[in-house]
Amino acid sequence: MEILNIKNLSFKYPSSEVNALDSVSLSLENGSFNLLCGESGCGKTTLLKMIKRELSPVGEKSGEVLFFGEDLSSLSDVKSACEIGYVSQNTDDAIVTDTVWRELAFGLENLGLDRDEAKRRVAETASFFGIEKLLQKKICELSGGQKQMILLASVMLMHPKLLILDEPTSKLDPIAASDFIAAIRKLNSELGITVIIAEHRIEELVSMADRVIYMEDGRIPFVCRPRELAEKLSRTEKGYVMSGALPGAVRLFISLEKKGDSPLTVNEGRIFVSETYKNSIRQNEIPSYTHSDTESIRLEEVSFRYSKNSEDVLSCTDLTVYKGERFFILGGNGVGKTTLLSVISGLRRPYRGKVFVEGKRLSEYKSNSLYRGVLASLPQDPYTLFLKSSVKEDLCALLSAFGIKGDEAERRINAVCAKMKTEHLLSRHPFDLSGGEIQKCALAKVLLTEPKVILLDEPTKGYDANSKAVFAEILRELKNDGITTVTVSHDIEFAAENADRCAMLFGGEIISPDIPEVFFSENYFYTTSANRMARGSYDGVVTVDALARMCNINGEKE
Amino acid sequence: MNLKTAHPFTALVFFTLAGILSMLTKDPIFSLTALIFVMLYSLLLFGIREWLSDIAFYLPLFLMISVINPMFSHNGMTPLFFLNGNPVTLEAVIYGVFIGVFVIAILYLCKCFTEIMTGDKILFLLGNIAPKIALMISMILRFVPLFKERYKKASDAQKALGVYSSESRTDRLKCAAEVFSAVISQSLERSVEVSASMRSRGYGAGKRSSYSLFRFTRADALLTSACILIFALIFISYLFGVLSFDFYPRISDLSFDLPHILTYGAYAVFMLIPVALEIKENLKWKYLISKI
Amino acid sequence: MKKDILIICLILLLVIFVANGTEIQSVEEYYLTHIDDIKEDSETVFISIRCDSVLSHYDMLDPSLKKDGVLPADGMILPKNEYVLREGDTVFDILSRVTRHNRIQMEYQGADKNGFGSVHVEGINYLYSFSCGPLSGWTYTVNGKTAGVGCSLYELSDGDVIEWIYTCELGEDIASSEGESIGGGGS
Repeated sequence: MEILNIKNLSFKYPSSEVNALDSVSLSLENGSFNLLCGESGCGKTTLLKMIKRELSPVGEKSGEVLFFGEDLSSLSDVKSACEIGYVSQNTDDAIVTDTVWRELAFGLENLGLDRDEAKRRVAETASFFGIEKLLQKKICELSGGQKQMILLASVMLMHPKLLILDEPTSKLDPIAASDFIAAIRKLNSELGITVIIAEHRIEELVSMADRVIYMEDGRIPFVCRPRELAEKLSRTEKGYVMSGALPGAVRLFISLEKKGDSPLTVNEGRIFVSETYKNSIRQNEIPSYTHSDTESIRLEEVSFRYSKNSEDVLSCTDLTVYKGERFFILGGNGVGKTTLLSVISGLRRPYRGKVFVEGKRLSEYKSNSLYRGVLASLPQDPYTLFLKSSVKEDLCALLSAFGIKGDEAERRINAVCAKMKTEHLLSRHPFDLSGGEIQKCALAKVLLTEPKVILLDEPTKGYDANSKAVFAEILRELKNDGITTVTVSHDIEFAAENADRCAMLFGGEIISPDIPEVFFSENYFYTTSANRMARGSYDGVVTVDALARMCNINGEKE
Repeated sequence: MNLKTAHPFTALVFFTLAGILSMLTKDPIFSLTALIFVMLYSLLLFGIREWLSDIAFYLPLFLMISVINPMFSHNGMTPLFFLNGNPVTLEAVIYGVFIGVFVIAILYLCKCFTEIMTGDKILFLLGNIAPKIALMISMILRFVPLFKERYKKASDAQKALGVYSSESRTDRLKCAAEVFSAVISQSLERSVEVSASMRSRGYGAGKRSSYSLFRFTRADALLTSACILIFALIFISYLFGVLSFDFYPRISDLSFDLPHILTYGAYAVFMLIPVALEIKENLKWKYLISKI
Repeated sequence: MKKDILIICLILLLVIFVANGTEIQSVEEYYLTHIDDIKEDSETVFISIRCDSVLSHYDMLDPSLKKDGVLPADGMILPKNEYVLREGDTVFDILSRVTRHNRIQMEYQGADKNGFGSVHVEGINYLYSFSCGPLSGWTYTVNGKTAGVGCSLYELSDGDVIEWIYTCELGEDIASSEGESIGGGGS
C-alpha cells in the first residue's frame, strides 16, 4: 500500500530565481525504508519539509502531496502532528524542555492524553529505546547521541506512521551514529514504520535500505535498489562525485567500472575481490615518505587533567609533527582528541611536560603572539567563529583587531577568499551557509592570521562527499604553502586518503604515528573498509583507489 | 515513603504548615521542639558530615543573634547590668536566645525544603496552576545551560584566533560583550527552530494536558490529611490562647496543664512525621538488604 | 560563602560595640545616683509619672503588660515629689535622674538618633509607645501646659511642676492634674 504519493511537486523560495524542487514525483510504500541521497543543497531538506506540513517553508508551490490518499493540507492538526514524525539534525534546537521525561511527555501533553495513557506510552517507548535510566536526567547532562535518541523517542511516542529524518547522525560520532541507525532499523523492521532518511554517512544505511532515492538539482533522476546504485551513479557526472560517500564495496565496484548488482557490505566486497581477481602480486610498493627536518610541533611528556581529582586525559605523551605535514590524530569518542588540540593551542595548560610550537615553548609566546602568524585553530563547529551578520564584516573585524584596516584589509581578504573560492559567500549571513560553505569561510578567516600551523577539530563531520573532496584539496594546497595541519577526526577513510602520517590517541597517549599505509594495514579492527576487503588477498592496501589498482594489476580470474 | 518520594503536593503541605506553625507563637517549647526535630531530620537527610559542618555555621550565627537582641532592646524587669546607661535585661537576653533558636529552626527548615522540593517538583506544582508558565520555565531552564555552552564555544574559538586574549582588560571586556551579544542574536534566530519543533509535535493542535511522573498515592492522602488534622488541632488551641507567651516586660510562666501538654504533644508529633518516615525507610531498606 | 557571612556579622558586631563606646555598670552601681538633698536655698521642681489613662482603656492594653506586678494598680508610677534642680537641667535630665533614683525602667532614643534633635522617651515602666492602642505614648506637661518642644530641649526653672503622662488617644484623653485639658503630645 502507498503511504505517501508526491505528484509533480515544484517549489520555489521567494528569494530565489530557480526552483528548489522541480516537478518531483515520488511514491513511498507503507513499511518501506527509503534512503534519500544527493549532494548538499540539492533540495533534500526542502523535499522532506514539504512532507511535514508544520515545517513546510513559505514560497510558490505547485503539485500535491498525498498522505494515504489524502491531501496533506486537509489533514487535521492532530493527525498531521502525530502520524508524520520529523527528526532534524539540529538536536539542540529541536529539544524544547529541560528534562528528559518532560521532553518525552511534551508531545503527549499537546495531544491532551490522560495520565494513564501517557504513562504507558512513555514507559513502553523508554524501554524500547533503552533510555529508562535517562528519564530523570537533565537534557544538558546528555551526550549528543543520547539527545538525538531522546528526540527520536519523543517523536515515536506520538505513534507516527511515517518517520522523516533529515541528516540525523551528521553531528554524532561514529558509535553514536551506529546506535541511532540501529534504532531506526529496529523501528522499521519490528514496527513497520515507513522511514525516509536523508543522510551523507550512508555506508551502513545503504545495506539496510529498500530503496535509494537520488536527488540532483531539485529533481529525482532515479530511484533504485541499493545494489543498482553503483551502476546508475557512475552514469551521472555529479553522481560520480557523490559516490565518495558510498560504502567501500560500492566505490570499489564503481572504480573497477563493473556493471550489474554491486556488493554492499565489507564482507560482500571481500568475497567479490577474492572470487573475481587473482592475487599473484600481493603487495604494491609502499610509497616512501620523507618529511622535512624542521619540527613544527613537539610535545614532551605532556600530562593534562581537568581537575585535581579527575583522571589524566593526557598522560606523559610525546608527539612530533614536522613542517608542512598533514598529520591526523584518530581515536574513539572521549579519548581527549579535542583536549589535545586545546593543549597545543594554549587554551589549556598541561600540569606536566613541555609544548613547543615552531621551535619555541608556548610559555615564551607573550600575550597574543602565538595567535598572530604562528598557530590557528578551526573549532569543531565552524559557526562559532562567526559573530557578525555577514562573512565579510567578520573578516574585517578580525583584521582590525590586528590593526589592519582599509585597502590593505581589502587586499588580504580578497587574496584569501580567492584561494578558498569563497568570494561569492562574502556578503552572506554566516548562519545561512551550508556546512561545506561555512567550513571554507572559517578556514579563510583562520588563514587571515597567516598561521604556520592550523589545528582542525573534526573538519569532515557531517559533510557530503563533494565537500569532503573539496576539503581534501584545500588540505593539499595548505601543504603546498608549507602550512602544517594537525587534524583530529573519527573519519578513518578520509584520514587514509589524505594524511601524510596518522596516529591514534588512546589512554592519554599518542600511539604509533606512521604513514597511513603502515598505520592502517597493521590495525585489525581500527582500519579502513578497503583494508578489510583486501584482507586475505592483498597486503598494505588502505584506500579504495589502491585496492582497485591492485585488482587491475592482478587482473580477473579466468 | 518519605517526604522525598512523596507527591510534591504532600511535601508542600507539610512545609507550608510547618512554616506557619513555627511562626504562630513565641512559645519557647514550640521553637525548641521545632529546632530539635528539624535538626534531627536534616541529620537524616544530609548525613553526619554535612550536618556537623552546618552546625559550625549555625552555632556562631545563633550566638550572634542572641547577643544582638539585648544590646538593642532594653525592655524587661530584671536588669543584669547597664551598658552605656542602658539596662541589659534578663528578659532581653532570653528573648535573644529564643530568636536565635527560632531563626536557626527556620533556616534548617528552609534547607530541608530546598533539598526535598527540587525544581522539578516546584515546576510540577506550578504546572497544575499555570501550565503555560511552567512550560516556559522549563524551556528557560533548557535554554540557560545551552546558552552557556554556546557562549563557551564561541569565546574559545575567538580566543584561539587571538582576538580575545589581549592584555588590556577593557579590550577583553569589549570582546566578551561582543561574543555575548552575538550568541544572543544567534540563539534568537535559532529559536525559530524550537517553535517549528514544537508545532511539528502538535503544540497548539488541541487542548494540552499535563503529565507528570508523580502519583498522589493513598499514603500521600493519609499523610496530607494527618498534617492538616494536627495543624487544625494546634491552631484551635492557639485561638483559645493556649500558646500566648511573652518575654516583656516579664517572661510568662511556662505552664504544663493538660491543654498545653496536648498542644506541645501534637506539635511534636507533627514535626516527627518526616523524621519517622525517614527512619522507617532506612530501616526498611536495611531489613530488605539483610534478607537478600 | 557561609564563612563570609559569619565574618561580616562579627565585624559588624565589633563596629557597633566600638561606635557605641562601651561602659559597663553593675545594677547597684547604676542605681547609686546621687540626688542632691533639698536645702533651704536650693531650687526645686516637682515631678510625677502616671498612666491612669491606661486603666480606662484596659482592653486595648498589650496582654503582656496585664501580668501581675507590671503596672501599678492606681496608675501612679511615681507620685508627685520635690527634687533639686541643678543648673541647666532639662525635663529629660530630671526624668532620667528621678527614674534612676527610684529604679523605674526607662528606655529612650538619644537626640542624635532621631530627627527631632531631642531625646525621645520610648518607654517608662515597660509601657512603650503603642503599648495601649495605636495612639498611645508618653507625653509631658510643665505647669499644666504642653511644652511643644522635645524633653531634652526644655530647660526648667525653679518651682516648675512636671507631669509625665501616658496617653492612649494622642493626648485627648488626659487632663493634667493641674487643671485644664491638654491637646497634642510632645515627648
